[in-house]
Order: sequence, then structure tokens, then C-alpha cells
Amino acid sequence: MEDADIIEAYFRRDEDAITETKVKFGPHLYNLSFNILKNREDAEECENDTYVKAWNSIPPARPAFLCAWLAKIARNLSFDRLKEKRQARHDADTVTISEEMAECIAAPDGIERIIDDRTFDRVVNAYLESCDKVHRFAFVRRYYFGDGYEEIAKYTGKTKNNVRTMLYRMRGELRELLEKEGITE
Amino acid sequence: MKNEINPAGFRLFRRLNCISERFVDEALTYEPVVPLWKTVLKWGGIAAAFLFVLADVIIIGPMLTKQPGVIPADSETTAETAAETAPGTEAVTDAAGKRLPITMTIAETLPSCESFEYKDGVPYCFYAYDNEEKLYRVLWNNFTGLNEKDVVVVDHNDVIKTLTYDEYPGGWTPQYEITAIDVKKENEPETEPVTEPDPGEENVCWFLYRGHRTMTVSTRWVFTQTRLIAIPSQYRYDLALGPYEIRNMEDPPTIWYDVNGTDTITYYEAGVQTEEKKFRRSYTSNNDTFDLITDHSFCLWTSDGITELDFGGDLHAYLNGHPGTYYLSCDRCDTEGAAFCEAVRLIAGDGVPETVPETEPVTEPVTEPVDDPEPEGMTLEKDGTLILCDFDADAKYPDERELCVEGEGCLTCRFSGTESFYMVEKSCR
Repeated sequence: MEDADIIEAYFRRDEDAITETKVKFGPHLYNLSFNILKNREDAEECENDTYVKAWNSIPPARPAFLCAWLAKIARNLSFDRLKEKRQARHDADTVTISEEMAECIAAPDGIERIIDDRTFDRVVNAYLESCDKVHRFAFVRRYYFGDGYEEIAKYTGKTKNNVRTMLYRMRGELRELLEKEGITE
Repeated sequence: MKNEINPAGFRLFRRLNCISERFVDEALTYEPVVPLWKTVLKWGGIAAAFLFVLADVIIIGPMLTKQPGVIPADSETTAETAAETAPGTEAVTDAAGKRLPITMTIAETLPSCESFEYKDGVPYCFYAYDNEEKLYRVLWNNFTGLNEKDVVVVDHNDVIKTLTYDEYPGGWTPQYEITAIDVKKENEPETEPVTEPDPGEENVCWFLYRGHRTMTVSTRWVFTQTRLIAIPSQYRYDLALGPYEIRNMEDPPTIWYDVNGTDTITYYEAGVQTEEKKFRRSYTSNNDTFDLITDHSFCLWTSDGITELDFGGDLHAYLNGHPGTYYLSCDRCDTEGAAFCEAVRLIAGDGVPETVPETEPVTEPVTEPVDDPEPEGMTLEKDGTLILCDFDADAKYPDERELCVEGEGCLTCRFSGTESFYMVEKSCR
């Protein structure tokens, strides 16, 4: 079923909308949640909560990119759940991602400004816009979906090291941009 | 092992929820890339295996059978030949000290700014893998075009520079840099692989029309998710000054137009700049005869800052800068750069044609439009069917409206109040 048809089904309050959503996007949403939560049950619950939220939001919402829209919901729910569980320890992947992300901020307290500064959204998206498709794919898969290097390498046809280098460079560029815009110092 | 997250980094990870849905969607629908070298290696390997078996059966087998224990008289020559054609060898010399070529496979589909870098508008380097999968940045000023299926042989002078990250300015990260003195196409592909068209790539087209003032096409305007249409803001299309007339009646349809300024088109043939021309300006006083859209096409995209006006075959396009009667149409752009356009006619609102004398200076901008009506609506005529593409101020997205034509796909009309022009994106699905 096409995305537009699924959305129409939501608008008709047809419960098939949820079934179709699960069939078409379920694996994406589950993986995304799992990458953040590293727990199967939690990831499944987040996935299901995403469907409920979608059901409650459409209508009136009519997402232009249904899967991306669902992914955003799933991501938020996953982070919320993570916060609830107050996990003190995380798996190595999450630790690595957090450390990589920290490279984009000059000083640890710089994050406070980023959280509140709407300019950040613009800078990040403008930066991604300026990147080519492969770089953008790698960045989004790594820092939005939390994918590992190996998986990204598989999709981009590059080696794991190439992906690592590419993302290293991108983080440096993003950091420079954030500094230039005065978002971090 | 450290197993504590970096709190600031983790918060930033979460904060990246701000990434545009468009990019997220793009990442979700991304088609895996099969590296060219893998394809080439695969087929090369099969061919080599076949040849080996053939040689074994036809030459070596009979020799061993007929003359057991006897080394063939020409074995030295054979070995030498094998050494000369052995791929992936760096700066290998033969017994006479003559440098031997490196067999390489180009690394990316052409044309692509990813794999080719330009100096003064001319590609001067490309990337290639040798058969040991080492990536080279090959400097080569004598560019005459490469096909992605080609296997090239690089006769190099003896400079192979090992690159480090710091030395490399951007783009890909090659391990070596080599200055080629010659590049030869070694073989042509036997068969073209059948590639299923990606609907997102092939069947998305768009229209631009009704420019009133100088139209600045900026990186904000991205027309499709899969094809990069973002155009650096330094490229300006002065559509209101027209009418411009751009024609391409040439064949074959592999000529690119690189608009590198307000009024200049640089002609490229097979990647090599051949001439540079100003936009031809023409004007007709009889506006009624200016209905030129049928069978004319226009397609525009860019990659990495190179803005291209791309016409396919003997298709030709007219950009009529009259307010209200400015037409551009494109129906299908394929990945090879050709544009296949059907007769689609877009008629803007009730703009009054602006009288532009033929002798008007090329670079003079029009700062004030003669007629700048409110965005009341647009009319799309397709096969005689008129559809009103109006803008509903009460809609959630008042600047956008989607029109779907049964069997034809949908159009998204967009209006930018600040830029004073309309855009229509057509999905040909």
C-alpha cells in the first residue's frame, strides 16, 4: 500500500492503517528503537506506542514523509523510555555515539545552548543539505538511527574505515559550522 | 572498558531529532550501492577463471600430456607477458627498467563531482581503484571522458604519493595520488546490466515558471528527494529580463549546458568545454505567437555546485520571460541526463507581457516587475484539460497544493511570496 493510501486509511479511521503501517515500516521503527534502547521488549513497546500515537495524530496531521514522521515519533518515544528507565550503563555502541557527538561540541556546557537554540536546527539541516547523498545517508543513519559503521558501510559500498573517516570529517565540519554560527564556542 | 555515556554527546544525539524528515526519508529509502570495482572484479574474476580453464584445457593440458616434464620453450615470454598485464602493481618495472602500467577501475559513475574534480571547468582528476582495492586519486589533465564500465590502464610517471588525511582537501579519501600520463580505455562492457528504474530518481520532474523579478534559485529549493536540485545562490537566473531563448538542436543528446553566470552558457561535450555563449535574447512583439511550449522541454539540475541546464536529443526549450507567459516544462529526466518531455503546458496568471527591446543590455537586471499579481492561482493545461491550481489561504499549507491527474500523477504547486515565483513539482508516478 502506498503511503498516501495508508494516510487515507488513518483519515477514514480504518484500523487497517495500523496493520499496513506495521507491515511497511515496522522493521525500521523497531530497529531504530532497539538501537537506542538495546532492549527487545522495550523496542517492541516503543514500536507499538508509535502506532498508537500515529493513530491519535492522523488526522489532523498529514505527514509528507510518513516513514520519517513515524521514525521521529519512535525516536522520541525511545529516548523518553530510556530516560524513564534511567539506565546507568549503556552498551558500547551508544557510548561510542555519545562520544562522537560530543566531538561536535567544543565545551561540555555548550550543549545547553544547542538544546535551546533553534538556529541549531537550521545549521544542521543546511549542513546536511550541502552534503552529497552518501555522506548525508551515513550521517543520518549513524546519528539519527544509531546504526553501526558496518551496516552503513554495507549500504554505501564503502569500507568500514571509510565510513568512520567520512563521519569523523563530517563531525569536524559540523563543529566548525556550529562555532561559526556562535552556537558553540 | 569505559561504558559510560558522554551526557552532552548523548543529549546532542537526541537533539538531532531536528534533522529534516526529508533527509530521514531519504536515508530510509536509500538504495544500497554496489561498488563498481566489485562488479568489475566479479565479472573480471569470472572471465579470468574461464580463460584459465580454457588455457588449461587447450594449451597446458595437451602440453603436459604430450611432453611430460618438459618446460615449454616460450615460458619466459609467457611469464613476462603475464607480469606486464598483472593488475594492481605499483611502479613495477620490467627487466629493461620500463615502467609497467597499472590497471585500474574508475571509481564512480560519470558525470559526478564525487569522482571528478574540476579546474577551470574541466575535469582534471578522477578516482580509481586498482585490483587490490586501493583507491587512487588520479591527476590527469587530458580528460576525454570515461565510461563507468571502462577499465583503464594508467601509465604513470613514477610519482605515487601516499596521501594522509591532512593532505587531502575533501571529497573521497584516496590512499594514493598518482599523476597519469596516459589513460586508455581497455575494454568495453559486453552487456549493460539491467537496472530497475528508481521511481524516486527517474520519474520526478518539476516545473518552474512565472518569474517576475530576478529569480534567485538558492539552496533552499530542493525539488526532489533523490535528485539534487539545490543550486548555489550565486547562480541567478534573470528570468524576468527575457525572453531568453535557449535552443539545442544538436545530436547526440549528450551535451550539457553549464550556466556559470547570469547570462552565459558553457557548452560541454563529453565533459570537455567546447564553447561559451551568452544567452541569446530574442523578443517578439507579437505575444500571440509566443506559444512555443509544445514539444519543447527543459530540464535543470545540478550536482555539487555545478549547475546544468540539460537538454536531451533534439529537444529544445524556450524560456519566455514575459510575466504571466513564462513556460518551462519537463516531464521526465533520466539518470543519463536526457530529458524526455511530453507536451505539458503551463499557463501562469494574467501577467502583462513586458516589452523588452532587443538591444537591452544583457546584464541589466529588472528590479521592479511590470505586473506582480497576487498568487491567485495557476492553470495547468494538459492534453486540453484545464486544471486550476489555486492556493487556499485556509489550508494548513497555504503555499502548497497538490493536484492529481488520473493516470498522470500529481503536481504540487508551491508559491513563494518572498521570491515572487511559483514552482510546480510534478511526480510522474
